[in-house]
Amino acid sequence: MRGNLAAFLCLVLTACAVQDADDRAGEVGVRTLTSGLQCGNSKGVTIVELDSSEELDARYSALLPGGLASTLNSERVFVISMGLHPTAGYRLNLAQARARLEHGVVTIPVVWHEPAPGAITAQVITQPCLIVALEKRQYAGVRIVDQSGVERAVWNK
Amino acid sequence: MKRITQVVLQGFGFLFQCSLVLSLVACSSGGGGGGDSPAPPASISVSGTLSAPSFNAVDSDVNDPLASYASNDTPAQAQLLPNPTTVGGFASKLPTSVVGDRFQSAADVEDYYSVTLAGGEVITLSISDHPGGNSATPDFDLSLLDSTGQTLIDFSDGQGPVESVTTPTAGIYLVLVEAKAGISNYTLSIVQPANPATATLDKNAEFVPGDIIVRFKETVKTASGENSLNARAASVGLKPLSGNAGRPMLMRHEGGAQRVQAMRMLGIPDKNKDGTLARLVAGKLDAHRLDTIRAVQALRARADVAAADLNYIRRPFLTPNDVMYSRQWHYPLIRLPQAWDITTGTPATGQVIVAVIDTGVVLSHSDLTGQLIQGYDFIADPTNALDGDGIDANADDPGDGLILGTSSFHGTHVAGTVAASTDNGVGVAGVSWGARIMPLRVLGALGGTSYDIIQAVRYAARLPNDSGTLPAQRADIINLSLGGGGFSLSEQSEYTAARNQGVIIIAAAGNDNTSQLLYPASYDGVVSVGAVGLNSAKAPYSNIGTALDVVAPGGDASVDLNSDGFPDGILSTLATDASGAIVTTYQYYQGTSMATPHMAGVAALMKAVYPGLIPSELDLELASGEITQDLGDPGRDDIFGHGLIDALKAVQRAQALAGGGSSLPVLTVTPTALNFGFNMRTPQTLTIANIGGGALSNVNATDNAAWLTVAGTGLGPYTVSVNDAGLGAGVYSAIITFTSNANTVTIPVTMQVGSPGAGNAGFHYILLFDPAADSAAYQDTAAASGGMYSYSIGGVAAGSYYVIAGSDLDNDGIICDPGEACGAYPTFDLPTILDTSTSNLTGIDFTTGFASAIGAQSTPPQSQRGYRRTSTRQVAH
Repeated sequence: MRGNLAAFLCLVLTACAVQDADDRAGEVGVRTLTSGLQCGNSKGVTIVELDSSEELDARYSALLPGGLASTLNSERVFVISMGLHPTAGYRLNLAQARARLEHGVVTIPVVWHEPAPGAITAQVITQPCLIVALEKRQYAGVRIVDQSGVERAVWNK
Repeated sequence: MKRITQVVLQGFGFLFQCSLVLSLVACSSGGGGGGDSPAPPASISVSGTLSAPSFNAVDSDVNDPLASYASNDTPAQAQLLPNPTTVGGFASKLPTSVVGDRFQSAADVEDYYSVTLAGGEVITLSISDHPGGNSATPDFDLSLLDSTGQTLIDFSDGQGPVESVTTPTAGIYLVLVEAKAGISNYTLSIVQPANPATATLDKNAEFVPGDIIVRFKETVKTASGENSLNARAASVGLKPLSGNAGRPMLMRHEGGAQRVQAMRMLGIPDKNKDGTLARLVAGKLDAHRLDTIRAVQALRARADVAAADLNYIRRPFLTPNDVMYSRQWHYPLIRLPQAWDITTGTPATGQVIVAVIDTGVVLSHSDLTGQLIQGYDFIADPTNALDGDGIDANADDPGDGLILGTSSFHGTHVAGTVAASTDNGVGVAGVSWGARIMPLRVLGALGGTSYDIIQAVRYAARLPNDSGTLPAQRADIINLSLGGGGFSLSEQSEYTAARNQGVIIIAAAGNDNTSQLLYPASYDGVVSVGAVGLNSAKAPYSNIGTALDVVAPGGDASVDLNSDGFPDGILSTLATDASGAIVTTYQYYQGTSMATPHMAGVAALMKAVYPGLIPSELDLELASGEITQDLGDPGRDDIFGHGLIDALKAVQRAQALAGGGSSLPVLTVTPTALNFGFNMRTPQTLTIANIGGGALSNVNATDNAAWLTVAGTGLGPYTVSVNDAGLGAGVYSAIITFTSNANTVTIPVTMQVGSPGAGNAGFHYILLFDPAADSAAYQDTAAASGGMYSYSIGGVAAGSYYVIAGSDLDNDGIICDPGEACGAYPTFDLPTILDTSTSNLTGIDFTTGFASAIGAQSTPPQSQRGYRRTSTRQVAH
């Protein structure tokens, strides 16, 4: 009986600890793996997870020649696409190396660059992307928020 | 048992009472004080009419059981189509096996259509559920047959998402869509005559049946590790003939057992065991030629093959040996190989210089070695220049990205198109590789400024500028693949000044798919260049409008029309800094940026033949239609300008001008074609002029159609009128021939008789879509009547809804799938939420229809998502 109680308490405490680790407000590390001008999703602003090296298609394999196998051991990889744009001058980069985590949702701060209105730019179609790595843990969702506080994309578990 | 039953019943009774209370509470929650009876929800109706475009039609046997049905499975049952038209259809190789489907138990393999076509019309099939690439199901093929269905005229049987065929002459044809694998919606588009795309695999050209020329990638070896001729041939099941490692090999695809082996090793499915081609091949088509074509297509898709081609007979054109040349579809499209037989850009004396005013050029790129002359960097702001200083004499492109991997190296791509080192067995080809590039930097991390660009223009024109220097020789042509900003009078005067120095200035029209003027392309004296894709259709992004002068290949990377496994972008020299160091490479880009250097390069070819070419002469040549292929409406139009630049015609005109052409008369006729369509019966005017020197005489016009009348004499206006009295419905073509003491010009005339007919976009479901719930709340259905659909939805609760309508050809419960008709109120681009809380909504009218498979047609855009229809909440009217 005592052993069962102890086991029960352990389970409860462990569950609480796991829940607490996922739910606590805090920060997680995020870093840039690579970025490019023609690697994004042409359909719009999106964030998708790359959870297998086999998912690297031609767009990413050139940017990640070493593959993802070693990265995926300790991190989760996400591709943030800016969508299709009519000129050069669009790009995306991480605003800082820490992302806020709250209730299982991580908010990645980015700097969203666009050409100024009326700017003179190269007339080439671009679809930029930013590929980032997050600490490997459970996330309920991932949000991309730019320097103006605008939520640009959301990924849900 | 009885006691349990009583408990259960009492439990239900309790539940019922609770439910009633909850209902009352819920109802009263929106009311005023507690205990008041709530007002019943508003019962609103929403009604209106949908209209389908007259050029829309629907397959008469689709999978939706509620849609009308008529078999079109045999030539005798061929469904009659109007022309032009966009057809939404459905086909399946096997029964769907889904309960409720029309084709649950029997497949819908073949759809036959009968249509009257003019010569040169392109029929395009888009397989809606094909995910892209060459290796996925479903697989549909497209065939063009004579009116009896017994003779094959043209076919397209690749494994990609798009197939197309072209009519050789006017006539009545059968068009066959045949499912070879899978189940899918499809879209069939028939567009008015345009110059057919010059495919990189000319099936109708004369070639040696069985012969294939293959160049393998030396870095990808066979399984045995050998790269010899015998080893390579064995790896693909072909017979070795000649050649060796490191150079093209000639192999043969023979019949019998060797054929079977080759087909297997190349992964070519034996699609001709059954189906239309199998029936027609025997005695009607050379099976050996067909298999050779398939083998070339299969080889091109292999990772170890750099290039594979038919062994054409008596091929007169120069074909560069650059390893990636076969992927540059954009050069044959504008007849550069034929032009290269005349000139590759090297003049008899001196050199032709093209100034590329851009991000600079990666000077170390191996495929630009020997092609560059001294340039300059005019970016005054070091923050923008990213090279540590302001203007300087170093035009090397350090990258314009603030983040590694995001530098465009745009100028390098443009420069490569103009004049990459060609026929050097390396990389790519350029348009005019005898020319020399003057790289001028003006675009940096933040774009470019008008001032910096003007300084570069002045330098190129050998006018005083902020560098304090002048080039040894001024540029002949300036390429400006950039744009933005608004009109500036001082800028206009600068471009006029450069033009007055004799410099031809060419600029990109812009990528916003609007008619808004972009500068500098829209300045007077600047040639504005729009973009087309592989099939000469307007690129989706290309700007249009009154300032557009000409179009050239700019690419469309969203498609792979030639099924070569690569996107249909423009391939050229490039670099990347993703690793932290600048590494040269080759890559596809798309945009009017890429179209512009094609035009600049052709102008350079002209200058090589005729050094005296001045800007006003080029303008005249463009305006006369003499150096372009007319696209779109006859003559100049806002979508294609004066047409697609034609390199062969351009250098031939340059030859004529160089041979003292200015002293010889040259007959021109504008516009270069007439189309009376369905409804235009007022006479049209042709203008006959002499754009050369001397005297043009003996001008005479003849035509070859009784319904056509041409009136006029000598130079000046001629009136062309048509009379369709007594003519049956159909497409009519004729030719007007103008002869003179100089050249002869022919003008094609097209007329359609009959009515375009009412459109039909198929059986429709009209949804009131609740955005909060992300689902359809109400639904009505309607069939087309005279091109219109009437709907009325009653009993609608107060709320906010979108009105969305579409067909469900594949009966998957979702409307607006790829290949299905779709529309929304008031337009699909900008749907508006309706508030149904006050009064009935009537006159909620909007258009619906199928998106054209390919092309510049103005049709409803393809939907990004489908909308699930409801099968249970169909509300009474």
